[in-house]
Amino acid sequence: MDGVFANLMFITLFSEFTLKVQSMFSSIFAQINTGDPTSLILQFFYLLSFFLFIFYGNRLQTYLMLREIGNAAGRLKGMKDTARNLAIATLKESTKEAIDPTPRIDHFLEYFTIMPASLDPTGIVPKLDHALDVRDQRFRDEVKLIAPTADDVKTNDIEGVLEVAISLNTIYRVVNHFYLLGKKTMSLYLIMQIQMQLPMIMEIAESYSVAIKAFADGQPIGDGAGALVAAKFMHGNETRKIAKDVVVAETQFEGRRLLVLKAEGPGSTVGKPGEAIKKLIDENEGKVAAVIMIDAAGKYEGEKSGETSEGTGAAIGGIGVDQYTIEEITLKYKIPVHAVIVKESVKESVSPMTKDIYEGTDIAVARVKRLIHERAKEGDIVIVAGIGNSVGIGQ
Amino acid sequence: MKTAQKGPPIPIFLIFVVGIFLFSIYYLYDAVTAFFNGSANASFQLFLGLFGFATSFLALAQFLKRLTMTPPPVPKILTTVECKNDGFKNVRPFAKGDYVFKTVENCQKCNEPMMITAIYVEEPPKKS
Ligand SMILES: [Zn+2]
Repeated sequence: MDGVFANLMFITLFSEFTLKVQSMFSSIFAQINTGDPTSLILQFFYLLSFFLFIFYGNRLQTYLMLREIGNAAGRLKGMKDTARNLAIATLKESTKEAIDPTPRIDHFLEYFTIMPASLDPTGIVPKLDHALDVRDQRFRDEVKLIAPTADDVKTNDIEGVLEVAISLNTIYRVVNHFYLLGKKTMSLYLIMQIQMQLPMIMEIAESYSVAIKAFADGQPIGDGAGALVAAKFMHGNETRKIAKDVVVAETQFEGRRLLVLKAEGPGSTVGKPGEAIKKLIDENEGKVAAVIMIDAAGKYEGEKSGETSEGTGAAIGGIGVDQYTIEEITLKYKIPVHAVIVKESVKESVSPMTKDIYEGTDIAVARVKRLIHERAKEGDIVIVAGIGNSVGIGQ
Repeated sequence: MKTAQKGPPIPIFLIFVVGIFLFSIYYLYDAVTAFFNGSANASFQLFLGLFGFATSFLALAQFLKRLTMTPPPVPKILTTVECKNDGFKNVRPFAKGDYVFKTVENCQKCNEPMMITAIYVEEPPKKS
């Protein structure tokens, strides 16, 4: 039944089409007969463009997309050059020696990390952890080599600048690769792949260009919301180093013992909070009533930045090593993990902290206090972990 | 490494668009006179004129918009300094080396050291 109907439709459409073409041609011939040359020329161009669009429409679309990608690649090139220059300037101002850091930085901009093979995923987390440790150490050594006189805070900030410069450089290389590949093959589908993602890519690149300035100057960024909440708890108490780049302070709240940890500020670092939490739980032989984690987290478009919400689970981003460590140790002792997040966009998380997010951290502090009050009894131990980059946030 | 090329230089683009604009005005004029003279088919002049007018006008408008576009304002970072002693509060522009919970210059009122309590971006004029 359907087939017959479709055939009928086709025949009707086709006959209508032939009629149209016939009438078009007859009108042309009519005009030839009247002998109006301009009209004839116009007819010709009209028909020509009609057929051009039928046969070359795709190609035209390809050209337009390619141009869009080319423009984006041009802008990305500008961004990564600015980032590179800022990295060089930051390094130059933090070393008194007259070594030009330019060649070393140019080498370092293409630094890569090969992720462990995941074919046999058992035991991949320690491998990943190890790879990231080596990378981290390499970064630090590199900065120490170029700027031996820089203090720890400055070294961490320079590492942040380098990280962002590498990210921008990578984004540029990928987009430029697709641009040149698309130009070479003129394949619509190849070009579409990158064109569809351009808005997101450009937004991330733009926020990175803002972020690099924040790292160079040591300003707090949106991602530091969790660290700031922890800092508000620990301020005024003695701190000690518990894991790499992580400090912990002990304080009291309504008779509960709080162990508050955050990445060591005010340099740019996220530290290894997973390891820190594991050590703290082990030190207390698992007698911890709850772990409360505070982190900045992605908001949906349309939600207000700086709003807070609560949930369960290890609130920590990154590649998953810390999350794994926390999940393992809390499972071992059956410790509940609560999460409080401060909402912000991806762009805000790497840009200088906005007032909304700053005010959000005050609300987060109140929520954490309420959680401690409800989820732990007097005399209990509660771990409060502020996750995030501690650039510009002391303790 | 080969790099991305930029679009055509602006003058050529401008001459092209202005050319189309002038042509379309000519065609529109042609169509109107043909209509008032009661002569036959001028619909193609009308079509071309309108089409050319619309595209060149849009292109020009976009170009002017790009010319007059101001770069986004540089975010202004503010540092809030507070005195724990008497609550004296001072907001000043961010200076390199500032960080939250840093102890800074002495209070103007009681001469006790003050502390940085907040660093954030000054609210930009609402746009979204
Ligand atoms: Zn005072």
